Amino acid sequence: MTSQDFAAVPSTRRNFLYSLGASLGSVAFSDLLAKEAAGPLAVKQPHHAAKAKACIFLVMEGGPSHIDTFDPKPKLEQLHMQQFERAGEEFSPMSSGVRYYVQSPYKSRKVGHAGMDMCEHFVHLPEVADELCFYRGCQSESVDHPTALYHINTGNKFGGDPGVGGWVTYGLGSENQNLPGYIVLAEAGFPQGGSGNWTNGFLPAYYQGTPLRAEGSPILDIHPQSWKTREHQRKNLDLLADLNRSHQAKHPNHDELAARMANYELAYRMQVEVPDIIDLDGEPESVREMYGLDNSETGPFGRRCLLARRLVEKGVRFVQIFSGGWDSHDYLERSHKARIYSIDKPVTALIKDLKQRGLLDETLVVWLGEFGRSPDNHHRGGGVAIGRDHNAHAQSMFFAGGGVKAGHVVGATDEIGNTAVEVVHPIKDLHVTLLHLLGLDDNKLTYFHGGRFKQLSQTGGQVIKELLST
Amino acid sequence: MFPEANAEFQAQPRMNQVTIAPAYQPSRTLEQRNRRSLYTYRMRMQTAPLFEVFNQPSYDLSCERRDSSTVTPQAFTLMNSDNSVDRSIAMALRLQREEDSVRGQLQRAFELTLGRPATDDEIAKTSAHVKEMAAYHEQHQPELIAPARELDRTVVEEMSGLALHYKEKLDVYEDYVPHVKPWDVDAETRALADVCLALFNSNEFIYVY
Repeated sequence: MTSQDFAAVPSTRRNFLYSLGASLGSVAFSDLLAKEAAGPLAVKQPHHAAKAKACIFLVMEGGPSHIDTFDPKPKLEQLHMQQFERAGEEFSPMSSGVRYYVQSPYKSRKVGHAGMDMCEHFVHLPEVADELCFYRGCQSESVDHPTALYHINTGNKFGGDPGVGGWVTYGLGSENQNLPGYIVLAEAGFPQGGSGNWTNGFLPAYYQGTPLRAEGSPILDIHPQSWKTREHQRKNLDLLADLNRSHQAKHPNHDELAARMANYELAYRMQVEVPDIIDLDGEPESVREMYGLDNSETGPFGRRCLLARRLVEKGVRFVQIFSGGWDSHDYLERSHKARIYSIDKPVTALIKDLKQRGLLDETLVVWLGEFGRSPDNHHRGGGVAIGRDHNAHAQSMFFAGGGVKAGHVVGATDEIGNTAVEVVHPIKDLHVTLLHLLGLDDNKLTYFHGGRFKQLSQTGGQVIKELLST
Repeated sequence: MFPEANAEFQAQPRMNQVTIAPAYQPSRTLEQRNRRSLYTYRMRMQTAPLFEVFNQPSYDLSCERRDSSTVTPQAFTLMNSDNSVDRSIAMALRLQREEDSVRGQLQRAFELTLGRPATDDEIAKTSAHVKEMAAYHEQHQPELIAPARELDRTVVEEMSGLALHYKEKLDVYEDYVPHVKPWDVDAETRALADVCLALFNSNEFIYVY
């Protein structure tokens, strides 16, 4: 029984009241049930005309520095190494000790028609600058990695709630019933907070992100033991189907029996389909070169970007990609430069490739981290460290495709990059905006749990209109 | 206690705040690890795959009501995992201990899993299956897979952004008590285990009406 069935079989007083409310039309519940009959991942109508039908969500784990990427602060050159006093009442490990300003080790330059700022180490990204919409107004609420990652990935900084991709597939279903609708491409080691970053939370498990693992089997246990051939599996599945058929005949009204039987067959097909889709050997040399697949620095992220394009092309609704190592408290010059190098070519290729295949208009590409970084740093190990701490008040993110205002920079931070000062919005407004572009209304995309209707924004938010193309 | 879990899951690097956590290692003895899931050690950051595919409630929220669902990874887990195969081998060995004839073993298998006698049709089908699979398993010997005794680790150090390489020793395997594995038993037992595996996966075993 899925939890949506409980309106039909009220088992508790609360469920009874809920089903009563539902029957009065407080939610389009009969509509939901009708869709359920066609399978939980069947394509569903959006709430309004969608700008994008798929989303590629690129998460830079660790907190990329806005100051050293897309939001340069020349003022810091004058202040470099001067003592910094943090105003306000926020105390954390990130505001203690002797603090001093840190200038960016990189030069920045203007790119694209709009003259956007981009650090010198983005060599390829300027080629697609006019497709990008930069946003400098978003603020997170936590300076701890797992908390902030949960917040940006699930809308709830305490974790446990469904991932953005879970909400999107719950709202829209998926166009390919032979692949999961919500796929996660993480590094071999999962990001901080682990699978909580793509959990289905209180939504049914259909809406859980499925990680296609970076090494080893793409999905755990997708293949049986080595001595079991495909023919052997077929025989065993046939025996299972036999056993199930006579049982099902006795229980004709239980849909999940048929659903479970279908799953075994889907699993059998996926054993061929999944390895096929992740096998990039057949990609032409030009594509391999474009994504940087054959370079050890750009290869891993390039592979995930190319996979994302292939998955979206196959009708997968939401692809969430992680790139770790952005947490540069020290050795900023070396470590951020390496991170930028590792993503610059692949991200550019992804946007170009989507564009040339006519997919960019209907695909929303999102690039962000869990927070930005501070204009200052503090003594580490008894000495000066050229790096930056975490900063929940300012960060840079960019979007491409699906209905965003291409070639624009929206919002601004103060003159040292300490806090956002224009078009300032919390993460929940960013989430509401992403849903909006995908044709979903956060206030309508709800699920009853824990005694109330829950939604991605937790308590409602607003669309950031400045980011929209129309 | 720590049950055995998917080998790739056990070897997966796991980040804690600032540092890397030690590898997952199952409990050493059968007594320690073959216990109800109630007693398992839970890691919030990395849910055991068996529980994850079956809607384990989040550790971070109270759960007023368990959900159930049918998703494809459940089929992978129940049909293909080493755990499922090991359980089916254990079941086949028990059947062979308790009954002499294949027919008696199959009858007992239905009683134990489904709580009812098998029909004649079911006995006929499963006997034919055991016979056919025994011939198959004669031709397909399982390869012995010994658990890794150490893992190669790479960590990117948080402050410097530099990669560190090291070997992590898995000490539990120095005197580990394994389950009976497929390569420990003959073709006939593996064939009987195929039927047990199908029974464990059957709707009638999974659902109670």
